[in-house]
Amino acid sequence: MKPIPTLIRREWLQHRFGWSLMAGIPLGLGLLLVAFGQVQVESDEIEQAGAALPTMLALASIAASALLLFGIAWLTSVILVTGLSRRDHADRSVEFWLSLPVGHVPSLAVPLGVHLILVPAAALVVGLLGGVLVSLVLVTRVAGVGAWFSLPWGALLPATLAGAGRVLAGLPLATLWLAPIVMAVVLFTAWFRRWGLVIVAVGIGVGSVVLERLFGQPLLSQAVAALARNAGRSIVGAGRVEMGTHSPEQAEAVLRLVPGLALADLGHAVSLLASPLLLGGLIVAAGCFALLVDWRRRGAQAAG
Amino acid sequence: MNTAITDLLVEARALTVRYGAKRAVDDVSFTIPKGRVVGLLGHNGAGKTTLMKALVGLARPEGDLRVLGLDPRRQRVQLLASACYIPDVAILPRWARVEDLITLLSGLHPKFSAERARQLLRRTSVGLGDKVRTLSKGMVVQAHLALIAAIDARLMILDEPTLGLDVLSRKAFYEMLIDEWCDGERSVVISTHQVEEIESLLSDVLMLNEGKLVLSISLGDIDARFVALSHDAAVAEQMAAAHPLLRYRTGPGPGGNAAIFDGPPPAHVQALGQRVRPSLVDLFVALTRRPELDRTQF
Amino acid sequence: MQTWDQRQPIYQQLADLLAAQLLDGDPPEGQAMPSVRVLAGQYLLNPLTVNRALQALNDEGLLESRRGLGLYVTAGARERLKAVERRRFLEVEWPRLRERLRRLGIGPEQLHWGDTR
Repeated sequence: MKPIPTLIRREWLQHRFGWSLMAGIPLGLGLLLVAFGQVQVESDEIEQAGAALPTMLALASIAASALLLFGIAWLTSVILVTGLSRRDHADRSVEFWLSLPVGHVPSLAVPLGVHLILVPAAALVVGLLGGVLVSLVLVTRVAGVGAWFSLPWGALLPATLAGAGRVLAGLPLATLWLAPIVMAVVLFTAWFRRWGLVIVAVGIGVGSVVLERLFGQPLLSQAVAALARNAGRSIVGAGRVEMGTHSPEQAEAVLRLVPGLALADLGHAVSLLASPLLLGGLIVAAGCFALLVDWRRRGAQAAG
Repeated sequence: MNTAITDLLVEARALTVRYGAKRAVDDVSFTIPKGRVVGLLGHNGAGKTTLMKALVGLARPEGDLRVLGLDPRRQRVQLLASACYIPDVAILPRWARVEDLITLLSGLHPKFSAERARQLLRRTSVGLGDKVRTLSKGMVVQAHLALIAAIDARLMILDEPTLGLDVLSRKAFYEMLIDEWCDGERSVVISTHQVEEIESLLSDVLMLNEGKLVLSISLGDIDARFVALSHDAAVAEQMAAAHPLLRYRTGPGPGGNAAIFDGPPPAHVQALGQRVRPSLVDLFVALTRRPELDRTQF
Repeated sequence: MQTWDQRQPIYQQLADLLAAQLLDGDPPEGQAMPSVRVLAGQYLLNPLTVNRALQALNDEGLLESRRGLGLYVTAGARERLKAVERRRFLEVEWPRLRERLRRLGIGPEQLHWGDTR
């Protein structure tokens, strides 16, 4: 009897079909596109890239697949999470879950963790692997199968793994930044069903306008904007790197730099965490979670 | 180990549950020893569901309540590990397959036996691979009951478990109830509208009316305390004059009248009719359509 | 499902039912009675009720308790039951029947006592 793994299993059992489609369809379409589609590329770009083209194509397809699936998964999860508190109310199965010996805290926290962190992370990994397949097809089509095998994997692999690792490590950080907004929405949809989202959005919008105009306090809008900005920075940092590549060796050299750059960027994102804004946000998020637990304790009343 | 296991599985004293200004459960006191099958009877809105929710920690009661020696509010998870609760039989998650529910229950309930569940399901028309969404209402009920019966609990709290079942399935459920749960150590609390059917299974009855407990008695004591007299229409006036709880007809013709008294009526009144057994249904009607009666305690 | 009528407590009705079966030799003297669980499942009754019924039969001496083995039908139970039934018929049912026969004007010659079934 193990409650937390079983709660995770529940999410898998309930959503596996949707998740499979969410990963399979983009990858499938992508594969079809690179295998049979017409790709428009600027001819001077091709000249610039020269012999480094296969490497760039491989990198691009792996990165694109991974980030595309990651983005789709994250967006889907966010949408799903906004309805999380009321999801078992339509078929009244919430009463079934409440009749089981599982605490309110794990029942609420596990789905949040699964959808906001595990699912996008898994999607990223699936996208990565699928991207390798896409790169095989694309590079083969452009430069023949041999070119794919003679790609500088020694530099390519660490670079892609470092990139993926950067995003995966940044995901929990970004989630921390977004926690107050997400938890507020989850709480308000618990209290007010579909109106919850509207109330939070209007509340923030109207609240910031009122605070700015009437009290000269732009705090709310600035805070929300800062939260969003820092969340984005947690995933991919502020470092901008110019990469001009004219030859395979140059491409390799640049690739070898990536792990170091990724690590430095991650460090920068972690350093952002030491901020009173984040602390305030986490307190708000914790408060919302506590109210959510209390709502569930009352038997999740006012359903229907 | 739980050192608080006593022979009284449920102890309630001055239990009240308020929803706003309304008292859904009003100053109710009773105990449930082990080895009993307790029928919780009452009209819709009488407070049965609220009382059951209070027993499993899903309502905020005032007063004292101990279930299996635990405080249902504060020790809800611990309590539910040794008790099982069906709040309604139509609440299985519709997206799940039956096999999924077995997997989930195995991981979430310490006393659930997957093998037992599969064994019980084999006796029904429900397949392991069926999605709950595709099952008819009766089959959902059968599946839910089979899953619950696979839990080795000391206290079973069932809110209208036979709703939507046909006669054969109800019979199978009653057989299962007797076979599995009547071992003298467990107790079952069951609310139902099929009062006639279930009367023979019960050992005790709790009757609620508008939140108040109007009767808390064992079935054996009913025969001792309540007197039902079957009489002719000719003596109906004299019967009425003795203030019975209820007068009703038992059948067509002049002899088909009856009256129920709480406690023995005077001897001359008893001589007017023939003593019969007060059925639970008639007692229920008698006690729940007269709300001004005092709470009767046992 | 077995329906229980209004006239007597259910345990008494079950005791009478079981007694009638004993009279028919089911189970025969010296054999064990079915267990409480079996009877409870068969008649869909609470085991406490079944217990009361068996206790009533025990009190009447029709069943005896053998330590560790359960309830057994006592020797002579059938005879005793038959005697009780006989007496009840002769004291209660026969007078009623006789009164009815008189009212209908049926005499003993019309009863065909010698006929086999």
